[in-house]
Amino acid sequence: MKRSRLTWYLLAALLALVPVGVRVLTWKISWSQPVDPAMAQAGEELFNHEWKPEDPLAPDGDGLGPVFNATSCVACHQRGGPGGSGGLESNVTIFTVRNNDGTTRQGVVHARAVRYQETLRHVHPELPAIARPALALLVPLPGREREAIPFPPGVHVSQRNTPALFGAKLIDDLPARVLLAQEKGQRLRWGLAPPESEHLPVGRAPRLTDGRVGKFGWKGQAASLADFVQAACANELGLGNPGHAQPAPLGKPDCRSPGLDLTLEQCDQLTAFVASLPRSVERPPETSRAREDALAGKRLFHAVGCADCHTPDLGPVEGIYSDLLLHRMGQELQGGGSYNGRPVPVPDAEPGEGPLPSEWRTPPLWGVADSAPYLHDGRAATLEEAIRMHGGQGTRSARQFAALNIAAKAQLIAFLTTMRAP
Amino acid sequence: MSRPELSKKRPMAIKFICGCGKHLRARDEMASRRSVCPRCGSPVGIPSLRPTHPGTALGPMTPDERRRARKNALPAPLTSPGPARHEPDRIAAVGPVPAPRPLNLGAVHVLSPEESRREAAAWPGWPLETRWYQCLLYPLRAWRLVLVLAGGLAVLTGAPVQILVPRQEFLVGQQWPFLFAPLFVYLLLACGFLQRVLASARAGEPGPVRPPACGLALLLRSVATWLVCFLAGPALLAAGGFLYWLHCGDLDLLDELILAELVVLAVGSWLLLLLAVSQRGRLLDANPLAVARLVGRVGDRLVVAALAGGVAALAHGRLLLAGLEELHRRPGMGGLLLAGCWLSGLFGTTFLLRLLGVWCHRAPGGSGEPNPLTSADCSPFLPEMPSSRLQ
Ligand code: HEC
Ligand code: HEC
Repeated sequence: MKRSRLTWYLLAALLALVPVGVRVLTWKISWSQPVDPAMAQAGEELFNHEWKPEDPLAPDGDGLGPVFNATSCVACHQRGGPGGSGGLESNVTIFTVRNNDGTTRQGVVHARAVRYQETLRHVHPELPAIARPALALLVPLPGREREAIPFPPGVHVSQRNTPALFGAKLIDDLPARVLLAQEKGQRLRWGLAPPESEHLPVGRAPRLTDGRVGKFGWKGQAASLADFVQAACANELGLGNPGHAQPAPLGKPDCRSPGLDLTLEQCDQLTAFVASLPRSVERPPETSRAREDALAGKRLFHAVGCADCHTPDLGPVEGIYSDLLLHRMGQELQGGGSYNGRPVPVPDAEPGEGPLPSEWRTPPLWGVADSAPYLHDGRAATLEEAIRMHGGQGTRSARQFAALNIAAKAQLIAFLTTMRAP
Repeated sequence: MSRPELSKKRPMAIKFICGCGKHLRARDEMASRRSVCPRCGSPVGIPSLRPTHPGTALGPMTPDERRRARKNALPAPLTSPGPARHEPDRIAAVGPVPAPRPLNLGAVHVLSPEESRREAAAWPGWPLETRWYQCLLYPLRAWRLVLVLAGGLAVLTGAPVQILVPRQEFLVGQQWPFLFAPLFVYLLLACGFLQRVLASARAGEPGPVRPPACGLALLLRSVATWLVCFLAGPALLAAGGFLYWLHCGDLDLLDELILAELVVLAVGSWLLLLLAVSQRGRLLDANPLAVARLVGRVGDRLVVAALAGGVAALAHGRLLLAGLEELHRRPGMGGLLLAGCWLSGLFGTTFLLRLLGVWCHRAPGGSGEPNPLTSADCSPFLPEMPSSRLQ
């Protein structure tokens, strides 16, 4: 080969390597920062603190309220220790209303207030003046269908159950590309099926308006733990902070706070505490017989297709049993509105980019044995009920679970009950 | 008997028989030279115009020459005797025509005299291509095969998605790779066909490609060739590209560029490796050195064409993915896209392999170019000589 030709080939190879080089230089590696113990300790105090109006811990603002759902974080996040899940009594009520002009209004109907109490009537004049509707009023629970109240067209009210926060840091540290890899893998696996599929377990990564991938919340509506904590401070306790203003009462939109209740540092302390919570664990049963059952249950979990969505490992996080992707879960499990963040279109609206009413982020199953009740609004009291209620993309595996014999079902449930809060 | 136009201009005066039984003719200026039999690939000495010893070969090679010749020969076939058969002193033996040798797997596809005669008679107007665009006609001539293969591929790509995916029960757990297993098997058949296209172009055969009727062994050999060539480098690029695609998150322009490069390189290098192997039919030639040697002999256009093939493959890959995606929404449209994609892909590949093969055939040192000084545009050997004419 002549020398000039060789030079050309080398030049071409070099040129081809330029994009690779640039990518290597710009590849973002998110190193996991260890939690500062002092910050976490300060955060623990804030997490357990009973907030009052004009609270001394919030010198610049009005403290608790004007509207709130509870007086402390731990009031809701308490099962299995501080940071755990909550019962039906700590459900949060969310509404979405589509106005006649096509715009939507959404928010939280807060359970309590310092002065101006919110009720369902603020959402729509035809609804009863109830501040804290029981779940049975909103969804036809099995056996209690008659209690459900009819909603005018365009009005959607749903609830959110309190999830456990254990292991939140592991999720926070996950790069978005892990979720996206999961999304691509699921699509490939089902012959490039689009995530609009109502039947195939093909999820999609939740997207925020700014393009980031959401990882927290039932709808995957928050991209980072810090974001969610700031939203929780404002929405649950009425503590305004630099990341999220405190909500004004529904009937009193001009009710203003004198200043911010929390500083950014206080929010960071809270985040540090939540991040310091240990992850849930898989605790094998004591007797060898029960252990074998749980093991058989684990195999069944894969065999009936639960692991399609509840993937055991996600990137570096082992034993999370979730893909953190949004899945369409069918008509029965619809729920509009969003706890915070991006508007969720109401069921009879055109689908947009945001999560659909029937779309839910697969909840991690770690610690599932200690986080009853189940599903986004806690409508399932037991694990078996939760599985039976899987619709949409989960229909097939729920049906396969239903087709198992009693012993096999018990084995699968036995496997799920090995997953305990720390 | 009709013969391609081109050969009429240069009379093929020298007639002789290769050791493998092939009847050959050579142009006058080839007298006393050495060349390679297009059928078995053995070196042959072409008799001088006025042989001093009628019916004997050229003087025997020196040991050194012999070694080189053996190295350059097509492979010692799996089933046929070793290099002894390739010794040049048997080549020009005149007399009773030896029985045709067992099929030489390395050459994959070369006509027997019988076939050649029929071939040339059936395709009087189809000399070996001299211009690149003439190669476009080649897949058209093989249209039935291309159509059948493309149709099969489209069905096997679309059917699993249409029939199996909605019935998820079949595909629980880890069974999902079986979804496309029939497709892969069928793809191997297509490899068999394409390998024949390449081999016949490399051997400089005119006329259309014949259906792969030569049996399982030949098919397996072709498949092995394609697999080995894929594993010898392109596989690494493809796997790297796939993993990068899976794990790079949202694709920005840079990622698209990197992925495109990987695909183009993978397909381009695969083509070049296949070509390198097809020169002598030795799987060991699936290495960069052999490719470099080949490019040095045939020219840089080989690289350009292979990379262009890569670009085309990239476009077709995208079309295939779009078709699969569409299949879930509008099955008719998706099916159409898939069929179009496979048809165009197979057509393009056939064309490209024909072109590359003919280039290799004609380049100096290829059996199609006896003498770098004469601008031969036709094989020195015309394989259509009826044996009766020799006597
Ligand atoms: C009234 C009960 C209640 C209180 C009080 C409460 N939370 Fe929550 N928390 C919830 C509910 C309900 C959700 C689920 C909301 C959703 O996803 O839409 C939640 C979700 C979260 C999440 C996201 C968990 C995940 O994995 O998606 C974090 C983090 C969190 N809360 C932190 C806090 C902090 C910090 C406080 C105290 C400032 C707090 N919460 C107070 C009910 C509560
Ligand atoms: C299509 C994906 C998908 C499949 C398949 C699937 N799940 Fe789920 N699972 C979800 C989603 C999404 C939710 C949340 C639904 C909601 O809150 O309305 C969920 C919720 C649950 C819950 C309640 C968790 C909690 O904290 O509330 C359990 C338990 C559960 N799944 C178990 C299973 C089992 C067992 C199987 C196999 C039979 C299974 N899932 C199959 C997506 C799936």
